[in-house]
Amino acid sequence: MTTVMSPTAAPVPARPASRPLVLRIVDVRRWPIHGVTNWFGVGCVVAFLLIATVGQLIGDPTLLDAPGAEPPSAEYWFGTDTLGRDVFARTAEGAWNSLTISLGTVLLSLSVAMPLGMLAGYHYNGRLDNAIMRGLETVQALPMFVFVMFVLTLTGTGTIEIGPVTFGMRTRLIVCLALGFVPFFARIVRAATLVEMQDDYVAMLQVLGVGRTRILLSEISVNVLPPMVVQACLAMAIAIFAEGGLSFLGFGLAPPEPTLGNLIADAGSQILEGAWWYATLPGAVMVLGILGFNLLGDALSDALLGGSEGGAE
Amino acid sequence: MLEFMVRRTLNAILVLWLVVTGMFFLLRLAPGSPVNSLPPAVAADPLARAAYEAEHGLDQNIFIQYFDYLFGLLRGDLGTSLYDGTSVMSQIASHLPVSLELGGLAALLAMVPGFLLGCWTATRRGSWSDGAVRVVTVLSFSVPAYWLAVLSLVFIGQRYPDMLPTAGGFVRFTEDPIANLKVMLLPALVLGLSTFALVVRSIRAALIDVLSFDYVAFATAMGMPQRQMMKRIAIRNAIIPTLTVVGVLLGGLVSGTVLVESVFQIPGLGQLMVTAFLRQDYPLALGCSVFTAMIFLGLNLVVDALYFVVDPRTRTSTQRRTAPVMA
Amino acid sequence: MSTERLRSVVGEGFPLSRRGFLGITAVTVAAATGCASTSVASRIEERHRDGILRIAVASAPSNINPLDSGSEVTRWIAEPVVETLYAYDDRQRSVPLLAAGEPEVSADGLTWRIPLRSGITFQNGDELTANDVVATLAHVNDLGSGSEWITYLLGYVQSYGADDAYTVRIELTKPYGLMRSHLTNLPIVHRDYAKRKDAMMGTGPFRLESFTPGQTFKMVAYDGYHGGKPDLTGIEYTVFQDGATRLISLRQGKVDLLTSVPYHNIGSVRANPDLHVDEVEGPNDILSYVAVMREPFSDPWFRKAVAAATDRHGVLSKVFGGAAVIGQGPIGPAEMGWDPDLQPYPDEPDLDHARELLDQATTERRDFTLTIGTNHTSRDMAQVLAAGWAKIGIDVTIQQLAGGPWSNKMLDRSYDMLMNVFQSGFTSGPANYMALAPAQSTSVLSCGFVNQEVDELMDTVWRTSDDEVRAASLRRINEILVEEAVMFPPVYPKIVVARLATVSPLNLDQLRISRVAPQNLSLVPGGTDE
Repeated sequence: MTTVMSPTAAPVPARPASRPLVLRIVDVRRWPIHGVTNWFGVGCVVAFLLIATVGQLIGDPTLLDAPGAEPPSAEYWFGTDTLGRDVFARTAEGAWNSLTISLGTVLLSLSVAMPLGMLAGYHYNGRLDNAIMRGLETVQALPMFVFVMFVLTLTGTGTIEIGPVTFGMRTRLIVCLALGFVPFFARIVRAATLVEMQDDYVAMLQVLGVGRTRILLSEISVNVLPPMVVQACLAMAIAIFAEGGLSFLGFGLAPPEPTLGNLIADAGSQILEGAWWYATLPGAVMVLGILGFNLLGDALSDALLGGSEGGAE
Repeated sequence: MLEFMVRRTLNAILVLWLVVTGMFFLLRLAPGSPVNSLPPAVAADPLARAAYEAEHGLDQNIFIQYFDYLFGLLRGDLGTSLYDGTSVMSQIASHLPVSLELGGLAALLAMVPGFLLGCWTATRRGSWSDGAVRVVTVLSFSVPAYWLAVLSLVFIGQRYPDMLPTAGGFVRFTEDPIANLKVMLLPALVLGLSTFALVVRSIRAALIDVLSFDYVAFATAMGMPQRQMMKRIAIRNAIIPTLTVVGVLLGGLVSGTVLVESVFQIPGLGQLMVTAFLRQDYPLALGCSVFTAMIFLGLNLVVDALYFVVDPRTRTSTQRRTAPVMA
Repeated sequence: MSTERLRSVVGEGFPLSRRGFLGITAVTVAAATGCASTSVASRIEERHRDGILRIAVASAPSNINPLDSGSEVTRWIAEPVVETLYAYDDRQRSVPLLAAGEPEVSADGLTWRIPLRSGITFQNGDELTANDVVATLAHVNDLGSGSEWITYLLGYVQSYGADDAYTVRIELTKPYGLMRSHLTNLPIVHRDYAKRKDAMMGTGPFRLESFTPGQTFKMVAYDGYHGGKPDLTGIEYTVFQDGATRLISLRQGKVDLLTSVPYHNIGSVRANPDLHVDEVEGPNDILSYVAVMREPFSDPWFRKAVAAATDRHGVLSKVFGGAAVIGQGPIGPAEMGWDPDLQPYPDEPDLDHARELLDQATTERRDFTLTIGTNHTSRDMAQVLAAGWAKIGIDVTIQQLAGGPWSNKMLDRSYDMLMNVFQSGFTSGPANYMALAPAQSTSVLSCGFVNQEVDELMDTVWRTSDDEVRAASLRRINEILVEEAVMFPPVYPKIVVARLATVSPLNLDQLRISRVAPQNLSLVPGGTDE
């Protein structure tokens, strides 16, 4: 998995059904129950969430417990690292860190991208649209990963205090990653808004004299949401990947705070002792998360957008 | 077509200028001075600091520095690295070919089998093998390349160190092509995996779409040989939507090289860039980023052009549908 | 049209089945790996026919000017190429090498005249003259050059010049006892190469033939060398940043010698009969000091509590695999001024005592930031230490910074505690003056510690030419800094070098001052018996 959106990021999402979003998600009949892969995806996400939450209650991620690296046992399910720390406890804590950072990233970028994309779509080909699009293209001229690395370098690794608010590494990561995601979401929102704009009802509302803000807020946004839920799910997968990659390269949370990425990076240096568990198991948990959110995105796409049989395509 | 391409090119240049300008100023405004990359005792000495700043033009007005940089860029001069004083351009020139080779190899290893498997699975829609391929592809782009790279170090590197660029020193293609390909194989496979998965999925979806079109049914009904039909009509039409994805894939390859090169310690542009960022070697980081942006924008232009060549229909319309290119 | 029919059609059109595809992949991989099964011993024998010693190093600068950096990263590669005016003998006394004899120092100690040997040639055939030494001095005294040596020479060296072709004259501003040490460590470079950052030209037994920045460095024997002819025909350095792969290549016989054995893996190296590992005490320091001018370390009780709760044994066993000595003060066992009787800290932290000390502290703070370098060893060390300090209720934030940003912290004094690994052998031999600099209140690097006795002693250390006096001063400085808990490195890491059994033994006396001296090694078919 690279920082690439799956082809689901098709230019113009299908015109969604008119029922409210919540009902469409809750409506079990729409869920393709027979799709084994969909349920598998849900299972992966649940497992990942369990490890990230309940798993944290087991063991201490920073305690130097064992004398050194030990293979998995009843006491240490995932073995221990060279400093003698419980790898399972570290993986669980790492999964929690990845989860919170990714979730924060997606939510933050959505909250910026939604208004931006809708404004651009509403003023299609207008000056505001052009300005927004050039801005987005500039951010996207660098691969997202490189862009985030750039922004992180700019801000350094210390805590930044702006007034009374202190930005720790975690907040900084979320902001930087979210910044990278904004163009992606904004483009999709813009495209979806365009579709809506071409719809008769918007023209009618405009004729009736309904204000721009109201049209955007109460009408268009509701219809733009379903594709965004799907994209948000897929973006979660990418965010977990990207956060891992940044930690892996040393741009992430500071030690001894574990993240799935820095666990893999640490493991990379200990392979000679034959410590297979250290490299393998935390990575497997990460794959569980990414795979789960990818499949869940597919499933949601089927359920909410009536996607093709092939799933994400 | 010409008009469209000219417009796209101008747009790309505008975006590139925005990138250069934005990055230049942001880097200069960042806390910390490049002087501090000197030995501490030297950097602490005001005399030494001033001498160093004068030598590197850091004492000048920032706008003068900016225009110097822009004109230098036009002449192909990207300044010198703060870390070792070498020319940024020469560093990039020696690292870029390696990345291009890696990216090209990964693309080759991903696209050819991906294309074949995509076609194959499209015709077996709904069968168990189709399901299996779906699982494999989703899995393939859910596995982070850096993890796969570490795993291949653990499980393959121990037994076959000759296959690891890290374990024998990297060999350039020009020095020894066979040894070079041997060490590039694993990284290219790791890097190409997610691209492979995306190609399979997009070809499959596009083919299924095309096969459901009336004219395909018509051609079949008129007795056009199946094989010819596939070659002449179906695949040709399936390539168009796939091209949209190619832009995405290229972006993925570019950022993928950053990580994969770091794990395998391949001296490519990605590794150079990561090191530059970690050391806060601004001129080098800026140069690498500008180059990456250039490659990226250039590739997207090529994809735009291909659109015209492959799909005659777009020639009549003035603008291509906005396809999000994400990476 | 039925799917059934289409399937059969496409099946024909694309004869490559999934099995076929997997098959092809398997064959490709197998073909590429097939040739890797030759035995290690025969591979080494085969490889050694060319008489080239292959060395794996952890990193290399692409600025290869040996005058710019005294770090082992640069100097390990420069070792066979460049030489110094004076050199350490095996008892670490300074003896003439390129110099024809002892320097002639004026009565006031301000004018030094160094006679050069005649007939010594650089690897390009040019004869070594006083002009080369002057060019070298000019570079290291140039503020804009970025050379690390300026740190030692700034404020001391007034002028330099050539009295004649074979006599160099150096004028000092004040008596400078460390001058001899610098002349013993500063390499002499050809005058046309002194400023170049992409080439090396010295008088050593090997010349740099070619290199790829950051990757490989190839040296070949120089026939016109003034000393004994080396056994080796060449030396090749390869950079392996990753410790594990560095070790794999040694085990697989792809390299002969490893300069930085990853401490994690030291146990498996010791156990391997085909490898020899040398672990010596050397000037390999963990720079570690605290910001005395600010809370919480401005409180001596807080400092002492932290020092007492330092998990030295944890660092020794878990981070360094036992290849280190438990740390006390800033001066280690291989350095001038080492005091073996000064053992205020036990191996295992005395937590109760630490808590008592902490209770006396007036500062309310129970947290600080530990700023470290980006290497793995530092990171592991910081994590062990933080876990130890957590036991007395001190919350530590670890901050990892690369060189530039790290210096930034150091210079604007925005750190709480700084830590980094540093080898000083190539700039000051069996001593580490730089590590002590922050303790001097007048130093630009001062950490805020003000102690008149230390300041005076430090002046003596730099000024005196009597090694006895210098050692005694250093001993006293070390004692004060331990007492005041300003500098308390957890351990003194050893210098660890591993090699194949088919390489002749290293000179351990030289290794004690960081010198691997590969130019003196030879390849021994069948292995050495040790």
